[in-house]
Amino acid sequence: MAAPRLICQFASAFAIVCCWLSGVTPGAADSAIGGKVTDRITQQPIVGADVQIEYSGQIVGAGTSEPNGVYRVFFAIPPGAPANLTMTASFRSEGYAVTKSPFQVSPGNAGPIVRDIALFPTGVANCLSQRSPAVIVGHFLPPLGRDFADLSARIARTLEYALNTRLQTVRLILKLQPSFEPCDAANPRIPVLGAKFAKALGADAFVSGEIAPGDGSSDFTVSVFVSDAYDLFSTPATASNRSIDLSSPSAGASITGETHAAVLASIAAGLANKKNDCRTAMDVLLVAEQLVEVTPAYITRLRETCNSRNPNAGLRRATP
Amino acid sequence: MIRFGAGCRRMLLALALLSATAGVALAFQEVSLDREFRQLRDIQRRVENLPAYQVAEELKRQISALQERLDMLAGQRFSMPLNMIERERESLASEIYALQRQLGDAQKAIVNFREAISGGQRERFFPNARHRVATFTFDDPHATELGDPISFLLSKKLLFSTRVTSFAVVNYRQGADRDPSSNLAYFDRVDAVTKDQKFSLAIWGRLSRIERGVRIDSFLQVPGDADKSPYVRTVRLPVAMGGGTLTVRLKPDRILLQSLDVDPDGISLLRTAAKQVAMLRASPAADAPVIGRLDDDSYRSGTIHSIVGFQRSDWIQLDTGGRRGWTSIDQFCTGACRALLDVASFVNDVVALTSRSPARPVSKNLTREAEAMSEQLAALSSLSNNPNRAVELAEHWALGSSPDVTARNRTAPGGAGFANLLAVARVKAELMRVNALEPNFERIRVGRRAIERIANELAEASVADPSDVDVVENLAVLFGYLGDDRRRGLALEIAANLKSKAR
Repeated sequence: MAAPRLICQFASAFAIVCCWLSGVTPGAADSAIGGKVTDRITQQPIVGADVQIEYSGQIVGAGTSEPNGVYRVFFAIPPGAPANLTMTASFRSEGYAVTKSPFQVSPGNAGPIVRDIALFPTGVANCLSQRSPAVIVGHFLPPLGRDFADLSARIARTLEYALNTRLQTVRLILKLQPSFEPCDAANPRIPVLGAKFAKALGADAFVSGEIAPGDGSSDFTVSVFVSDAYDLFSTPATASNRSIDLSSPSAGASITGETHAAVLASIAAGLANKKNDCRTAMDVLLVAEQLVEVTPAYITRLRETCNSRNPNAGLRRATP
Repeated sequence: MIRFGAGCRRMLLALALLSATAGVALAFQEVSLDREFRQLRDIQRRVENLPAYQVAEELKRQISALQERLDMLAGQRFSMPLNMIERERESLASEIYALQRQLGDAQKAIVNFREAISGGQRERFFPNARHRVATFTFDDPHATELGDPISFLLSKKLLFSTRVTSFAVVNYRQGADRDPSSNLAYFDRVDAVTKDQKFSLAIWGRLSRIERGVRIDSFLQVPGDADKSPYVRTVRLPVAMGGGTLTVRLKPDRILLQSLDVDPDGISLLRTAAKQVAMLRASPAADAPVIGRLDDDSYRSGTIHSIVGFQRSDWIQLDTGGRRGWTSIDQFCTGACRALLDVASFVNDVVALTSRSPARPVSKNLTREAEAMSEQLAALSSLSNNPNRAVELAEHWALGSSPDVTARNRTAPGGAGFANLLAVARVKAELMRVNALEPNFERIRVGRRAIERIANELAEASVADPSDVDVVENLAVLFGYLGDDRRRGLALEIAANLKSKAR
């Protein structure tokens, strides 16, 4: 599982930073802050990130992250500062949104401060979902020399109309209706990173795609990748949609039932995992199942997971 | 207060078939059958002018049977004792009277209403109609401007081709404009109006622009709280089995009926058809002079428009407050428009099924969910008298006994709906079987192994669809009979929990 590995990585990074911070300290500095700068999506270390420590609008320390993402910055506490003061660490790196992280310092007890930070790629931080359930519709890679403005937004809108209408058949209550949020800046280098985008953005599903020229002059073949935040899909659920007119305001209205089913299954997985609401999850799965000819294995797996948590399982005949 | 639209004129066109009673005096002075022959001929003539719908066909069948009896009586009246002739004549007269009443019920009237702009519509439209259906303008996020024409065409098809009597259609037009703060406003409004007006069925839908035209998604819904509707059946257990009641309810009760892709030619066909159907003509011909319109303001003020005539099954004559005009849906609605009308035909079939009319095949233009709903209604209708038929129909969906392998792998629409129906139908079939041996129903006890098998299968269905409260309540009844207190208690607890969440 990923959790022990993460703990191990964190522990080793923490050890490195502590050793580093407890080393030789420049004479003028009163304290130090250190940690690891990573990419919020991929969790890979970010090299060369600029770190500045600010207090009352003044820079009191600066540094840069090393190849393993680890940084350390020594800073001076201004004379006459209050007993407990709040400083801000600012992190900047090309291709990433500037991130500020406040921290507390006590002059009398200026031990090393550990602060790991994960930076969102530029533009992606704005896509952090505030709703649940949520589906983020990311970038659709266009063919060379083509650009499709607002495609993420149009596809998000089309998905919302299509799926929320279908969800009406099981009378899903308003607060459990999924929101479909466009985020063109969310551009995974490879489709498999979609799951990391879903997790990092707090969404249940992440939808992205690739566009290839089709047969007609205005037609395109659109491959849609659906990833989820709960590892329901080992690789993104992929469906190819032919003869799509991307100039239409409802681009993607002809997206296949397979794509719709995968998005709904991700939402169901979120209901089951985040909200611990397997009953509603099963309702959503019922809708998903009507959209495909054969029930996909991921739906069966999710059903089995829910069955084990379902109080109705106690109504089954007791095994002798 | 129900306001279907926000900030715009709220208009609705209400259409109805109103019941009319034809009081007929049946006095006679001598044993003569001329009057009955005349009455029957008159009914026959009027029925011939009805569109060739199920109502007309049923009336024709009854007329034919009465004609035969009348002919026989006429042939025997000189050889039969007078009192026997009188008795038979009285019986025939009474049946002819009943026929006249049925025909009276089939007379149609159109009523246009305009919802008060400020107050909303509080009173119930056509409260005395047995069957009340609403059609809502379709949700139109991409501004195709087809929402009203489509609901208008569907409402007309519903009205003109109904298979039942005492039938009302209310067509909600305009006012379904989207509220930018919520994409769900449309559904909420449809739901609110349907519940408030207690419609037995509602048709609504959504329009979206697709690559080459428009996709028309048509939905049908049955009010979820329709406890005493024709969509619910109960089976009571004998006292010896605990006397509990098993409930089976139509599920799915909100379905996608049709997803129809219409190209630009089809779109203009739909618009033209709606305009043509709205025109009232001087005679039943497409090129006859137009004498009025059904969709202009003069018809929205609450006047009653009666259907007073029919010709060749596809032209309808309307009386619009003294002025008469003709219109037709079948004449003008062709091609893609005709495919759309399958939605209305299906809804008419659903209404007819609830009136014990036989099921008709579901159009291939409709969805699998429509087929499932139709078969489930047929099974519900068979439940009380022919539970084995209900079992057969339910098994097809619940157990995937379809010969079609693809269908076998698919989950039945409506979750545990078919499984519940199957369980209740099996219990009913067992009760009827044992009842044949033990006439005292209250003393009947169905074999525990049979009930246990039914309960265990239903429990599996409940795990797959844990939100179905009917299923868990039925399980509580069955476990009660089996003496399984643990599972009965759990079922009751789950049911109570589901009900409290629903509130």
